[in-house]
Amino acid sequence: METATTSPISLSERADILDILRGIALLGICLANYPDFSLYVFQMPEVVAKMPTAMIDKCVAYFHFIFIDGKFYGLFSLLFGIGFSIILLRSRSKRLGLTIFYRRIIILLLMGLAYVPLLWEGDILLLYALIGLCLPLFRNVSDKN
Amino acid sequence: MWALLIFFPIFMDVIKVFTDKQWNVSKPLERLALASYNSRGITESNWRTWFVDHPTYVDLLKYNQSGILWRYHGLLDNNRVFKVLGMILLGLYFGRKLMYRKL
Repeated sequence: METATTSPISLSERADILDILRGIALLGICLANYPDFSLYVFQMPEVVAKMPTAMIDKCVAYFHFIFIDGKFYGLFSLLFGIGFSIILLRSRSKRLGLTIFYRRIIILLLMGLAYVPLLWEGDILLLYALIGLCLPLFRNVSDKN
Repeated sequence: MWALLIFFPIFMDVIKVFTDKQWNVSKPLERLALASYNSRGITESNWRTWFVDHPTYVDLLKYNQSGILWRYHGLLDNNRVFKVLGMILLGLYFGRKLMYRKL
């Protein structure tokens, strides 16, 4: 019974637009971090200047800076908030309290805590988890406020 | 609240400009991060090549220990913490009003 009430949202209930936007946001964040993932940022400036693709790289870097870098986390944060409100609405209708929300946030927090020291300094999961822990404070705040 | 948080970075940046970047909430973290990097021999001039001389996984763990301070200095310095919280609260409002169903 418990597993039925806390199970993920069914396919028919899912909002396609949110999944599509999540995909776009994730792709954007992946592209934004590509200079790090490809180790391009670790190249010395004089090495970069001597590369046969130096001119194209410069254009790509401008394009990246203007259209990609820092342009997708806003959308991702917005979707995180919408996701939280959906969890709250479902929890209220099924009288589950914040169990599902806290379970997900704790998993995110643990992933963030492991990710930073063990894999990559450029983590963001920890920040989302820490902010997420504060969100229940806002759940009873009126829409006007 | 969300509007306050989203526009808060403008207020923070105005203070930075008028105090010539002397008043900056991320300054202490920046100092800590730089001290941590320096203690491991990572400097402005060699951070790109540090991994060539220190290629083990243990070295990566050490690099990340300093990196986390630098990362959170960056998140505060570009006001990302306030922007993310503001956008999340805006999302909370959109979700409550079921606005995404009308898209």
